[in-house]
Amino acid sequence: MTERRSPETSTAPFFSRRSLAGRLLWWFLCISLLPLGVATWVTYATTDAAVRRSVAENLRAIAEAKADQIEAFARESKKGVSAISRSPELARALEAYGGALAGGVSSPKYVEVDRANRPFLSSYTESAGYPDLYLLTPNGDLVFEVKAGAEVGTNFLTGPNRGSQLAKVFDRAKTLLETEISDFEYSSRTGSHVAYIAAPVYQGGKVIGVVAFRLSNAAIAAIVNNYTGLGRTGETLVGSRAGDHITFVAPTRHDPRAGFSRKIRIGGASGEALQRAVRGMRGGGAFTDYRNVESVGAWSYLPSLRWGMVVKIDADEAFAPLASYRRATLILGVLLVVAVIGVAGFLARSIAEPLVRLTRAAALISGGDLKQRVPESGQDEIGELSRAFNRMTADLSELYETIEEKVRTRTRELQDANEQLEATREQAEAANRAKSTFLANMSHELRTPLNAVIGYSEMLQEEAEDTGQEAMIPDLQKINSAGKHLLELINAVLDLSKIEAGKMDVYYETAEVGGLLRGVAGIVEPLAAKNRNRFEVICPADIGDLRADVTKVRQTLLNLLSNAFKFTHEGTVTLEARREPAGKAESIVFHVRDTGIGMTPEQQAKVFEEFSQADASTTRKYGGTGLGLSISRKFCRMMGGDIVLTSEEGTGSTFTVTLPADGKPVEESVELPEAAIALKAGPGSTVLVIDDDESARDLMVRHLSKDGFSVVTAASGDDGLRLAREMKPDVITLDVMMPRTDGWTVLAALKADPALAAIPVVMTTMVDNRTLGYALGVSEYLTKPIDRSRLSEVLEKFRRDGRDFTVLIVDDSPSIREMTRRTLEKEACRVLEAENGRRALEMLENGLPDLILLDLMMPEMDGFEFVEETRRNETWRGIPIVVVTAKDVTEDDLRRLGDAARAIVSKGDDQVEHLLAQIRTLSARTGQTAEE
Amino acid sequence: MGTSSTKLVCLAVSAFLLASVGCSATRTPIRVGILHSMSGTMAISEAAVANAETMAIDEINAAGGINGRRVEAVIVDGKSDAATFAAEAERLITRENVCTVFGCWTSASRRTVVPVFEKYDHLLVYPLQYEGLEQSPNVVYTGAAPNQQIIPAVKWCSDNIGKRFFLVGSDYVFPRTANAIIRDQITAMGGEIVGEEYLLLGSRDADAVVRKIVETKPAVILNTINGDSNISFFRSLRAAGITPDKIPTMSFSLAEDELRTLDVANMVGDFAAWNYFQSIQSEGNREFVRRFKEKFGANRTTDDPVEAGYIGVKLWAQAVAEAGTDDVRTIREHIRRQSLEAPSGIVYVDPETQHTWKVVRIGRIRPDGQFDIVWNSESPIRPIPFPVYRSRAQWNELLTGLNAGWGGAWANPGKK
Repeated sequence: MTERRSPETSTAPFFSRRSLAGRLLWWFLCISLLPLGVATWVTYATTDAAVRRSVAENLRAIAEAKADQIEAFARESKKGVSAISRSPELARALEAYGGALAGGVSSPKYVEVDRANRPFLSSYTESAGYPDLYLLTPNGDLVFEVKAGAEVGTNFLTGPNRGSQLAKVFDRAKTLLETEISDFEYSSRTGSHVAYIAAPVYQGGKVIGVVAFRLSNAAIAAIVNNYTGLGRTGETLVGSRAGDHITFVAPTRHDPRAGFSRKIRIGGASGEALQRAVRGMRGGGAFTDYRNVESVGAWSYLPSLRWGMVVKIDADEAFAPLASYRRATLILGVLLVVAVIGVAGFLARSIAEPLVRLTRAAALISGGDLKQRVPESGQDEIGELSRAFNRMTADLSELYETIEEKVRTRTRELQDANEQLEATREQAEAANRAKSTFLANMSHELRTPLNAVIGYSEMLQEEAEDTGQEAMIPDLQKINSAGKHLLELINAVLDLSKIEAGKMDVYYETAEVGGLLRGVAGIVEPLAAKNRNRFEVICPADIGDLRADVTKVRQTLLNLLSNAFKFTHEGTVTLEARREPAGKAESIVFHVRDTGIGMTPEQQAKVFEEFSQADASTTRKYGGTGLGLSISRKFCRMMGGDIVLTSEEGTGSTFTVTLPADGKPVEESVELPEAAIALKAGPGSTVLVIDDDESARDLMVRHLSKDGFSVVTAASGDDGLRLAREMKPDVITLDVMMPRTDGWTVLAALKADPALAAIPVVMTTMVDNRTLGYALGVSEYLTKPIDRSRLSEVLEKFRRDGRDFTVLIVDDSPSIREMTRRTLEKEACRVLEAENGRRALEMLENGLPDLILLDLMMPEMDGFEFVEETRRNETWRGIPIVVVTAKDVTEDDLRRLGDAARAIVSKGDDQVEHLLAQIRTLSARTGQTAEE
Repeated sequence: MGTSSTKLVCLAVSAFLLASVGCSATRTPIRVGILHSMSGTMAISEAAVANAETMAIDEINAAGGINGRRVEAVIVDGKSDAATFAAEAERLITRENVCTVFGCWTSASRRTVVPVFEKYDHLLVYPLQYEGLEQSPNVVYTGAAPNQQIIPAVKWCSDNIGKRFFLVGSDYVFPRTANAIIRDQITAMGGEIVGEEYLLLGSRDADAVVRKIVETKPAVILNTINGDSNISFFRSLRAAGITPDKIPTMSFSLAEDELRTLDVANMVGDFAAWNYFQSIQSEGNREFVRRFKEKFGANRTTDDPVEAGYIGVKLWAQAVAEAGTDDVRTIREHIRRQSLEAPSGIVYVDPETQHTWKVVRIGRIRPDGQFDIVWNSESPIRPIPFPVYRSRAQWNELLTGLNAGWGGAWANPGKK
C-alpha cells in the first residue's frame, strides 16, 4: 500500500442512475407509484364507465318513459276514437247527415238532423276530451263538424282541403280500414298545430263513412317538455320527416319556438341523433346536437306518430361529476406522488447514505489514510457493517504500523545478508582469481625448475654418452623420467584444475587426420621400443580432415598410446583411424588397440576415474599419474565425442575415441559471460578503438560508424582497459605503439582478464608493408620447455640455406637460456643470449641475428616492449621473432594470444578497408564462437 | 433484477393478467338456433330464410359481435314436418342451450312449435307473413300480420281491379284464416266472393279449381296457395287461357323466390302484396341485395321472408346489446320497442303485440322475375293480429274449429 490514489468519491448526484440511493428511489417509486397509478387509473376508468353507463341508462329510461307516454297517448286516443266509431248512434248520425247534406248545410233536413244529433256528438267530443269532431262520407264529404265552420259540406278528396291532414287521414282510415292518426299541421283557425284521428264507421259490415277527431299537440307537448330527470340542460326533441328534412314538432327547452318551425336537413352535420331517430333507428350515445353542442342522449322512433324522439342532455352537465372526480383524482394523485417521492427519497437516502459514507471512508483508507472511521449509528445491518468496518480499519492500521517495522527489520536483515553475500561473492571471486593466478603461476613456477631438471638430465645423458660415462646414464635416466613424470603429473593436475575451473577452452582447428596420426606416431615410437612392442598405424588415405581441438586430440591419443605401450609387453599396439557416418554427422573414430594385460570388469569401471589406475600396484609397476584417462575423456566429451573402453583380462584392451568430424563446441565446454553471448556479429556491434592519435581515432570512428558499428574510443591503454571492462565491446582495435601503456601490454592485460579474454583484438599500427606487419607481432609460439622437434620445425621455417643461423635468445631464466642454447647448438646454430629486452636491444646494436627467441615475461622490458622496440627500428624490423613463453598455462592460451594479435594491419588510409574487414571477421568470429 | 427489460416484462405480465381477468367473464359466445326446413317440400323456399338469418349473424360477428361476444348459430332441419319442428325446437332449447330460435315458415310448423316455446318460456322469432290471430309472449313476429298484407291488398284490388273475387288457397290454417278475413273485409267493402277453393298441401292437380275459376269469371283471383302447388295451379290457369290481362291474380304467398320456379313469362302482370320487394329503390336495400348475392350467388334473389328473417336477427341483436346479457327473458323485454331502418323501411317491434310495424307494398310481376311497386304505404303500419271484424273469441273459435276438423293438425291431412 504505497501508492497514493485519490479517493473515488462519485461526483455524480446522490440520486443518479447508478447510485444505490438512485436505484432504491427508483424501485420505491416503482413499487409504490406503479400499483397506485394502476389502481387509480382502474378506479377512474371504472368510475368513468359507470358514470357513462348510468347517464346512458338514465337517458334511455327517460326516453322509454316518454316514448311509452306518447305512444300510450296516441294509442289511447285511437282507441277512444275506435270505440266511438263503433257506436251505432254515430253510424246512424253519419248516415243521416250524409243523406241530409244533399240539400245543403242550411237545408231544413240538415238542420233537423243536426238538431237531433249535435248534442250527443258534442258531448261525445267533450267527454272524449277532443276539441272537435268530424264526420265524413266515404266519398269525402265533410257532413258534420262540432265546431262547425265553412268546411262543412265541402269535399275533402276534391275540394280545397284535399291536401290537408284531415283529408289524408280520412283516406288512410277508409283504405286501411283502421283508426289512423294524421301528421300535425298548422291550423289558422285555431292558431295552433293540430292533428286528426280518423276511424272508419261500419254499419251492417260495410263502411259508411269516417269519424275524425281533432287533436291538439298540447298533451304531447306536455309530455315532451317535462324535464324531470334531465337536469338543467336536458330536453326532449321530437321531429317528423318531411321529404329531405326534419321538422321539430314540439318546442325544445333551448328553443321554445322550435315547434313546427325549426328544421334540420337530413344528412346534415347537426342533429345526428334526431336524424337517426326519424329514420327508424334506436340507440344512444354521444353526438353533436342541433345547437352544435356536444350532447349525450337516447333516441327512438315513435311509430304511431311517425316521429323520431331524442332525449338528450349536454355532455358537460352529464359528465360533470366525472370532471370533478377527475380533477380531484389528479390533485390527490399529484399530492400523493410528491409525498411518495419525498418519503421514498428520504428512505432511499437513509439507507444509502451510510453506505456512501462507508464507501468514501473505504476510498480514503485505500488512498492511505488509515485513521478514517465511520459513524456507528443504528442497530440494523448497516450499523453492524459500520462497526465491523471501523474494527477492520483499526486492525488494518495496527497491522500496517507493525508491518512497516517488520519490513524495515527484514530489509535491514536482507541488506546485511546481501552485504554478506556480496562479501562472500567477492571472496569467491577473489578466490577464483587467486585460483586462476595460482594456476597461471603454478604453471610457470612448477614447470620452470622441472624444465631445468628434465633438460639438464637429458643434456647430462647426452654428455655422458658422448664422454663414455655410461655408468651415470641409468641414474640420469631415472632423474629424467622422474622429472618427466612429475611434469606429466603437474600438467595433468593443472589440466584437470583448469577443466574444473571451467577455464579449459576448446579451440577448433581443421587438421588432416593422416598428418595428425603421423605426428603422434612419431612421438610415441621410442615408447614402442621400450617394451619390445610392435606398433602399427592404420589410416585410410582418404580419411580427410578432422575439425576439433587438435592439441587435445593429440594429447588424448598420446595418452592412450602411452598407456597401451606401458601395459603391453612384446605385443602389438595398433593405432587405427576411420571415418564413420554416424547418423547425420560423420565421425572420425580412432582405435588404440593393444594386446597387453587387459582389465577386469572391476578395473574397467574405475579406469576413467581420477587418480585411480587399474589398481594400486599399477603406479608402482607402471608409473603414470592416474589422471590421463580422466582428462582424455573430458577432452573428448568437450569436443562432442567420447572414449569407450573394451577390454579382456589377459587379451588386451581397445580404447575407441569417437569425435565428430566437423566438430562444434558443446555448450558446457565453453562458458562465456552472458553479455558476450548476446552480442551479434557485424554492424550493430560495438568496437572499442584504443589509439592515442586523435586523427587516427576520428578516422576509425568515421569508417566504423559508416559500416554500422557503434564505436567507443579510448586515448590510452588505461582508458581502453577501463572501457573494455565496462562495456565489453565486441571488438577492440589496439594501437601497438602508445606512450604510457603500449599495445602489447594492453593486449596482455586484456588476455589476462577472464572477462575480456574472449574479445578479439586487432592490432593497428603504422606500417607500410603488410607482410612485415604480420611479422611484427608474434609469428610463432613455443612453449617451455622447448620441445626440440618443435624448435627444429620453427627453425626450419626461418633458416636460410647456407650460412650460419644466428639465434638470439631473450629470456630471463638462465637455465632456460642454457637449455635452449644447448639445444640450438645441437641444431648448428649460433646462439646469442640476453637476459632481458634491454640487453637484447643492446646486442642487436652489435649484430643482427637471424631469429629471436623471445620470452615475453621478463623484467625490465618484457617481451612486448622489446618487440615494439624492434619494430620501431628499421633495421631490426625484419628479424622474425618467435615468442617463447610459459606465461599462460597451456598452449591454447598462447595460440589465442597469437590469434588475437594475428591480424596486424597498418593504419595507412589505403589499408583501412582491410582493417575493417578484419574487424568484421573477428567480430563475426566472436559472435560465432559465442553462439557455438 | 434491475434491468429495464425485466421491469417491462413484469409490468406487461401484470397488465395482461389484470386485463384478462377483467375480460374473461364475458367472452363466451351467444348461442342461437336456426330452425327451418332444409329438406322436404318447404326447403326450396325456407332455406333462403335460413341463409338470410346466417348472413345477419355473420355481419354481427364481423362487426365484433354483441358487446364483444360472438354469436354462434346452431342450424337445424325441420324437414318440412311440424312434429320435427317441435322436437327440434325442444332440443335447441334444452340441449343446445340457445337463447333464441329464429325459425318456421308454415303456420302449421309455427303453431306446433309455439307451445314448446311457451313451455320453456323461451323466444321464437318468426319471419313469415301469416294469418295473425296469434299473440304469444314467447314469439316475436317479424312477418306481416293480415292487416299489413292482405287487407291493404284486397282494398287495393277492390279499388283498382274489380269487386268480384275468387279465393284459392292451400288447405291449411293460413289460407283458411286469411280467406275468413278477406271475406269479412270484402263484405265490409261491398264486394263479392264468387268462389273459394282449396288444394291440399303439395297437391299437383289444380285443374278442377281452374275450371271453377273459368266458370265464375271473377275480376281478380286472390291466391293463398303455398309451395309447389303454385306451379301446377298457374300451369293449369294459363293452360285454361286465363292470363293476367284477363283475370289478374293477387298472390299472398308468391314472392321473387317462388317466381324462379315458375314460368315468369307467363306471370308478368300478376300481383303480389308484401312488405318487401327486391326492387325497392333505397340505398339500404341495394346494399342488402348486393351483400346477399355476394354471399349466396348472383342468381339468388331476396324476397320478403328473406328480409324479414334478416331484420329479425338484427332487431334481436339490438335487444341483446341493450340487455347486456343473453338471458332469454331479458332479451324478450328489450326486443320490444326495438326499431331499425330495414331494407323495407322503418320496422318497429310493437310492445303490446310483439308484432312488427312494417311498410306495405303491392307489386306487379316484371318479365325479369322482379316486381314493379305499384302501391306503398310509406309509413310503417301497425300490426293488428286480430282483425276488428270479429272478436278474439270469435277468431279463436274459428281456429279451434279448423284444428279439430283436421284431427289436431293445422293442415288438412287429406282424404285417406
